[in-house]
Amino acid sequence: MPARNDNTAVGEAEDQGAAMLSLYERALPVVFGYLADRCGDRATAEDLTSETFLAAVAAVKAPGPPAVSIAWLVGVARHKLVDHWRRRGRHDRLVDRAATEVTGPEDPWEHELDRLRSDAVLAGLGGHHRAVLTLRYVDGLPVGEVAEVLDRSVHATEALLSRAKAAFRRAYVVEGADDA
Amino acid sequence: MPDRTDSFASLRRPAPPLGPDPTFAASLRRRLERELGMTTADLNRSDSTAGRGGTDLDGTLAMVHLRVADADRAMAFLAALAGWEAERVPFDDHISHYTINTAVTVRILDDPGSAPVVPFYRMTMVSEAAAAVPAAGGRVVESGAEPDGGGWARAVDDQGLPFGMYRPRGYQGSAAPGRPATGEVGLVFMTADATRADRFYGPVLGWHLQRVHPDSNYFEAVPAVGVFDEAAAFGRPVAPSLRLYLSVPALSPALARVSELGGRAGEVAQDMGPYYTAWCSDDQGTGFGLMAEALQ
Repeated sequence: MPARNDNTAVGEAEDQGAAMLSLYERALPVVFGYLADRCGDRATAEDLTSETFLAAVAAVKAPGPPAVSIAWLVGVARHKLVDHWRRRGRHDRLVDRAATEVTGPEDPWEHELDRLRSDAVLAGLGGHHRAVLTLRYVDGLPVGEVAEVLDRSVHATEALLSRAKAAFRRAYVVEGADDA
Repeated sequence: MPDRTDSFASLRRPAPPLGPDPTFAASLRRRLERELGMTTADLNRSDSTAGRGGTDLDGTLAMVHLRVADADRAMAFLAALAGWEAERVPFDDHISHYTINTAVTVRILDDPGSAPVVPFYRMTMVSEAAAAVPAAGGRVVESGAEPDGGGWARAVDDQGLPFGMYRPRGYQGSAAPGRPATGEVGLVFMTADATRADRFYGPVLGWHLQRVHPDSNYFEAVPAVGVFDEAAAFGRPVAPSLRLYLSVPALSPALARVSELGGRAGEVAQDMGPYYTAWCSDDQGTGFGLMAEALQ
């Protein structure tokens, strides 16, 4: 087997087809692992993995292809995940509005979050809320990058983040009460 | 970075690499090949870049041998538990069942001379991989290498763990499966010295072990194969071993089924990433693991 170099970009290769397939073998566990972990559903992760790699193929076949790398693929996967959550939660705007109505000033919340309970709460949130919290906190992206992925302004993203946190906190408390 | 005083900061976690179902991986690869408009010549050239004239599937899990006391009885148990269908093949001294509706073939055999679990990996040039075994500190036990470099070989690695390699030839002799399986090979769990495993399986099978998390002593090798350096994790000597886990849609119903079928359902643990797991045994005492992302 050749030495594996995750920084090798398809766009720099002479034979894009062979380079793309080679990248596919290296990147598949990374892309699938990211999607499976974040969406918690292997079937959905497989669908989004397919969409991600097909988008990469479309990109390298287009004029002026980007330098497709594992990091580039994970970025695409992140967009696909957000699109999936958007498609799934058409009632999110109502959820957002409802959350806005009850969100007060931010107060420090120094609660020690339980991993399983947090995952359950995230999975139960509306798509926009789940997306912004996942990108900001689970992935650890800066707000500016979250805004780019969500195609919103930084200000709008911060507002969404605030509402999402409020929704998470309420759901977390309810989930805890249900468990008790 | 998120505010460190913010409880939400504790949600941060890396996403460890995870191999998908091998059937899905192969299917998506074929789709990409079509989308890329690659010809057979292109694919041959692409495959030749994988070294030793092999393909990128070289070194991936193709089959697992599972030793049991009575192969017919074990097959009945696994058919009822995981929906497996198999071809029954009588040998001179034992019976083997080869599953026909699973992504990774499982050979259930009552050959007492076999090791309890033996993983077999795809390899285009078996002869060259086998030649790399002694150089890496292992031993070839038996070889059916063919003149074109294909065929098969059985070996043990430098830590005494058995494994095999073969060049799949598109065997079409068995009947078509009648139903999809409800349980698949989820994981060949290798307990071994990870540094030595990386040093051995790198030159032999082309593996490059990937630590799943900076704090973890678990490494992914190829899809459905992982190495746990238990000695490093717990600071005491541990004998190398191989265990087979079956992935099922939900753990609790599968455990109930194990009990119904006369097996022993083990305690549920959550010590393998997102998976709930349990170590079980069938109605003859053959050990196997179950893993699922959901309890119910």
